[in-house]
Amino acid sequence: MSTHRSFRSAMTWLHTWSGLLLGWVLYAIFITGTTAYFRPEITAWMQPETAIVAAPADAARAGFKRLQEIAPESKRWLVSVPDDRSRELKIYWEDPQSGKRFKNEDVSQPGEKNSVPRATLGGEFFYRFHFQLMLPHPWGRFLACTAALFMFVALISGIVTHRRFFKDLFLLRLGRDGRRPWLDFHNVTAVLALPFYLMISYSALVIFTPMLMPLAAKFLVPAKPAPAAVAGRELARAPENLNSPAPDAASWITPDKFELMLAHVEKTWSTERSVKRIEITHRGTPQASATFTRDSAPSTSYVFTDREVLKFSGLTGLPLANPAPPVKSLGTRIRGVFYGLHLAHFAGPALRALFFLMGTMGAAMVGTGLVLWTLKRKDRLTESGRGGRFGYGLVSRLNITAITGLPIACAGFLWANRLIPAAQAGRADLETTCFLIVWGVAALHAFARPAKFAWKEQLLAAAFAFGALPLVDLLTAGRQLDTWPRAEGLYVYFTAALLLLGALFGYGAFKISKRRARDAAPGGAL
Amino acid sequence: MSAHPHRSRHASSVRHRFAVASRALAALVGGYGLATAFTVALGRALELPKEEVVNTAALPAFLLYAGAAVWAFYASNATRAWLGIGLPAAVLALVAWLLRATPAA
Repeated sequence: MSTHRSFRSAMTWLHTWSGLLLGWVLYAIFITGTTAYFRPEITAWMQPETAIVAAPADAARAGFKRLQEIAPESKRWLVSVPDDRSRELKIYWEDPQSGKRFKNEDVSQPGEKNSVPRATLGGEFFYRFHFQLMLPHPWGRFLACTAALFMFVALISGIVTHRRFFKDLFLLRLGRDGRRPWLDFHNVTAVLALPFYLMISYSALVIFTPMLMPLAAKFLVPAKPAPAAVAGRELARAPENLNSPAPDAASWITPDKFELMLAHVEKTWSTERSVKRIEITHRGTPQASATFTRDSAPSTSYVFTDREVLKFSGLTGLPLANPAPPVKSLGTRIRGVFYGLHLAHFAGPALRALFFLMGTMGAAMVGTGLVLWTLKRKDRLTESGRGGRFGYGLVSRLNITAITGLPIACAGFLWANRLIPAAQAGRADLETTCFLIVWGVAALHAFARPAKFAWKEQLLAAAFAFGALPLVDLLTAGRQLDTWPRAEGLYVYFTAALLLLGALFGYGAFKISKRRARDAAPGGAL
Repeated sequence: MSAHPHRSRHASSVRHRFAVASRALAALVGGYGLATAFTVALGRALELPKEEVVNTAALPAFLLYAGAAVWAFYASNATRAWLGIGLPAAVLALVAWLLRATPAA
């Protein structure tokens, strides 16, 4: 019996500290990650100039044409074609000078007004932030993976600490003062979506296995000069034939050869699910070839080699034999399912909204956990009157910086998107700079003001930042009120989401000031 | 050896702090070693193409890693925390070494 007790208390300790140490990182990962479930939709909102969607073949042609103008010397081209969610037409090419680095350009098609789509990272910003944390490569990824591991451990130790799952579900004592409502909310958000959290933290590690297990790979995969058999792996490169004979003119792939390929692709694949990606490799050599990858079918599993491809010779423009898909082991299939679940590409709008909601709950779970730490520490400080104030002050300020500061910065990013002129040079980087400045100001504010005022003011600022965005959009994106009845669903939903976020933050500010008014004793709670 | 972290919350002695740091190292570094040894041993036991072997063998390794972290803070002292992770890691490394002759698929 005593062993049992001590196991639980050891797990409580582990839960507290593994949760706290990377709590802020985890919170930021949850917020940006759950936002990234709507990556193409956010990009579309942030590029109001883009056309609805060009037919895949037309988009492919436009991308090919632009690559001919901009990168005639490059050995490797990529065209990412818009689909039913994304309007983005992007081209990538290997820089002939540096050899390895890829350059890219957004060549999305202009819409009705025929204005060039503004340069922006769009939803890609949140997606990249989610696992790179704006740190230099590869440190952001390592930090994100460490956070995933800590979360996994915090979940396991949290489960042990709170065994009364179903009881906890109905135990929300909102009316009570002190830390009780916070603890209850922490438990409810944790228990409601627990399978999602377990899946999301474990799958994060599974996705990054190749990066996380370099030693194991060194022992398991003999480092002999093997013929590249990394078929289909994203961005995997076939060995360049450096001693190739003099470039044959035909092997740069001429537009007429490309048309031949496109005709074959259009004949083979339906228009609903057509080409998503075109990769042209070994340009300027006799091995030149083009690989067309089909838009993936909705499947839970996400395995790169599962994709349907059509490969063509660059010399003749005729189809080449498709390499037989490699037989995949049970382990690879399991990994594919976890990979797919994490990204949720398979999910339709309703299921994606549910994933978004669970991600938001995850952020709430981490956020309430962080607040709980400060409440417990405060109780202990009042009891003992001894040291530990520095840690308490630091954690409570960092909590404000993360929990309300990050959403304000995200809103600032969207404000910057509307306020920076569409034709401004380097505007995509400027948007990111604005995000950082807003977050920095929020951090300064959190450290400068007494905690109880900082919370309220930042909640109000977030309410304003999100609530006023539709107005900013209306005044800047060239939209008139009378066009609203004809507005697309995407725009309507996006605006509604912004207003809802504003209302939620406003409600938070209202609740917090009511509580302050009632607790006549100002102790700087939180 | 050192006291259990939760039992000596208020004892902020240097010794206690070292013990907690030692447990944390056992969890992070020791756990990583255990996970790697496990991946190599399982990977060598499975006959899989080399593109799939690391990703497959590492699937259970992450669960083991988390388990090691839990053990590191549950063990009654820091020495036991290290032993409980180090010994299985050594055994797995031995198994991996014995399987080395298996021609890589």
